[in-house]
Amino acid sequence: MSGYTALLLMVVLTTAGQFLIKLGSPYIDFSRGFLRGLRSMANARTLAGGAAVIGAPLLYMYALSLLPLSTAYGFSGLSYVGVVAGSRLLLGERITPYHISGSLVILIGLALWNGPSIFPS
Amino acid sequence: MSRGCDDSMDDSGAMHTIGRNPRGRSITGEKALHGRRASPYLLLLIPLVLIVAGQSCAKLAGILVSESRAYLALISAAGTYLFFGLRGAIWAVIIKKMKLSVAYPVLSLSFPLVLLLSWLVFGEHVSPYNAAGAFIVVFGVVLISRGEMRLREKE
Repeated sequence: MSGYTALLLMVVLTTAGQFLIKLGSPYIDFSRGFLRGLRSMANARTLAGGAAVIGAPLLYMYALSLLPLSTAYGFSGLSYVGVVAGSRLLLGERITPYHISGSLVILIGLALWNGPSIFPS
Repeated sequence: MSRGCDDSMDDSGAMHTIGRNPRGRSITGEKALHGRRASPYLLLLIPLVLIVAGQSCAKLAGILVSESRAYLALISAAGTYLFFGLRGAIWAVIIKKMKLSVAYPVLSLSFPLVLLLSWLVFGEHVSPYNAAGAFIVVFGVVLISRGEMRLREKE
């Protein structure tokens, strides 16, 4: 697997994980005690989302073994665009052009973080 | 005396207005309460603080390892995992009441916060790219909160 494939998979996994956690959150209920609350966290969606979010950094580390940090950092910013766009498309959240441009600006900020090169020669 | 009473109501929030005047003023009271209610998005400060704490522990563990103080390094590393787990659990609970399209981008503020910490506390070098990136990330979050305000104005 190439470094870029790993980074894209990481973004997909992070984004999907966030959606799953959001979809699982209505099942979490701490109103009937702490232990029952903890048990309610162990619903399939939250667990799957948690696994995805925990697994994604492994792909990131793999990508880092092949690509420079600045490249990997920039790609990780894609998850913000993915989550914002996906929240509209998959969760039906109301967003504005500000939301989209804001997530793109975050992506630019992270792409710039470690230097100018996103695609190393 | 009644003036003093009014003043204290202003200071302590609209709850008292509702409590003292259950009839007649309840609607305005609820409105005032709604207007003053803290935004649920303030809860995002908790995961942000936990991220910064976790990163600090990781850095501290690195320093302690280099000084070959293994026992303390282990405790610090355990702290990293503890904060990481706590953050995940709290995130799953608080995201229930928020829009993911807003809450998730706000977490990107952890990048400038960790940068600030590494500069102020650990005395690390901050490159111009780091600083510019941090400002741009903050600007992105400002844009999203602006969009959210627009949506609320429409409602």
